[in-house]
Amino acid sequence: MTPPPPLPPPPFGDDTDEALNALLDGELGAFAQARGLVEVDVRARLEHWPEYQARLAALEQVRAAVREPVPPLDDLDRKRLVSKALAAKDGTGATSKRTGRPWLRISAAAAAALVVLAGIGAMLTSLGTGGDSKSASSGSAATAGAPRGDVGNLGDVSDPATIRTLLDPGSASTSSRPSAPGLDHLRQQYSTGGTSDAAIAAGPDVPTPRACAALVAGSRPVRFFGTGTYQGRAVTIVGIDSGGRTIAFVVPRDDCTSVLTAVSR
Amino acid sequence: MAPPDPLRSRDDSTLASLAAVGDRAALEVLLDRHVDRVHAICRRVLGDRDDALDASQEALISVARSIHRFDGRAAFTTWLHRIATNAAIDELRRRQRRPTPDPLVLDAAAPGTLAHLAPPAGPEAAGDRIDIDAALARIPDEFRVAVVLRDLCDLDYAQIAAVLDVPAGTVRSRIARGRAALAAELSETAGNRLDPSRRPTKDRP
Repeated sequence: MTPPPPLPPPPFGDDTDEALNALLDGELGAFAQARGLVEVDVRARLEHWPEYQARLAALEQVRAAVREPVPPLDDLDRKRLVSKALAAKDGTGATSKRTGRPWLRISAAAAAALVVLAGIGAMLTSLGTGGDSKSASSGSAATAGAPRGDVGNLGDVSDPATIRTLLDPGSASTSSRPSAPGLDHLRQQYSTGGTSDAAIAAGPDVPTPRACAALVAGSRPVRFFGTGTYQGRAVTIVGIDSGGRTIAFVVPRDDCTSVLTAVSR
Repeated sequence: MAPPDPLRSRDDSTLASLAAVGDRAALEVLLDRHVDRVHAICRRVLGDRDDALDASQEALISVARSIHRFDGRAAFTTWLHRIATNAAIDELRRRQRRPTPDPLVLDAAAPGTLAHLAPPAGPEAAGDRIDIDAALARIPDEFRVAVVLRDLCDLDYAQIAAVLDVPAGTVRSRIARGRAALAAELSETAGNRLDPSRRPTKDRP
């Protein structure tokens, strides 16, 4: 009686398990590429290995076991984890300790009052002087340079790349455009509906881009503001300095309290 | 019924940007949205409820304190996974430095003292749950983390590579070796379950 022929060795030696796991995870292409092979060839060699089915099934079982849901957090633990994290953040003094409604969710009218009467002074000052103490102390190159102020109509900004060009400190100068307004000018804009912005203000209830920038920024320095369309909707784009970088917020023209998207660099 | 919070419809990137400039409500929504994910990673990596809660807390505090440094170049979840994974690994290291309780001392302790060492009641006590947590605990940390990020968090190899800051080839290798080790562990555990004399003492009722 002749002994049975020996089983063929694993097709990729010690790396056969890697190949099978890559197959299981939909990553076989990268495995093949790393070995200068074509994915279909790797797959074919695996499938012709007699141990293929059994080994793949074992690995699938492992994956299913790890995927078993973990015991869920109970509500108390959940709330405690979040509230402690927020408290720790507040404790650092690195953020606002305001406990009222968030500045981006307050109504436009209430925001206007807050902006004009309380919060906006610092921003207006920074626009007039080129930065507040916080951004100056951060000393970041990312936000270095003079505020760009009104950048005008940017057209379609649905692609974040369009907005990112504004965030790039090396981007084209906008010096031909009006510079950032001073305190009195901005206050007048806000209270009267604007002067240079009047032409693009869409109606009595629609704030001018400048006023919208003030509303969105609160006490933070405004780097630039402009208008455009985002996914077919008329929007105002507001760049705000924070933590040594600039973040651009895209808000509807008629609702500066609602952020459609934000882009940072 | 309370009106829907408009912040809750925002994507992670927008919320992170808002949180970065001090919007506490945005940060709260972001943390609340991802606390389960963070906990799941910590729980699977650590295998212990209390350790997982400690690590989850560290991770969330880290997110809250460093959100202003999130630059949006990578997905928020990639950044979050990195923080959660590091918190779990830190907790593992802390645990390894802790003195192991002397079983003789535990045996002599009052029944009340021993209560917390009993197997947990409810769904967590199910055999399969203990098997996978115990099996994960017996494989090397770097394999366990890679497998958890792949299978529990559904990250692809490139994302795991970004989280762990290692090449994608290393991820592939760790996952393969981790799953192979787990397959052996689970096979062993299944054998133990069939043969009570082979079950580890701690799993006995």
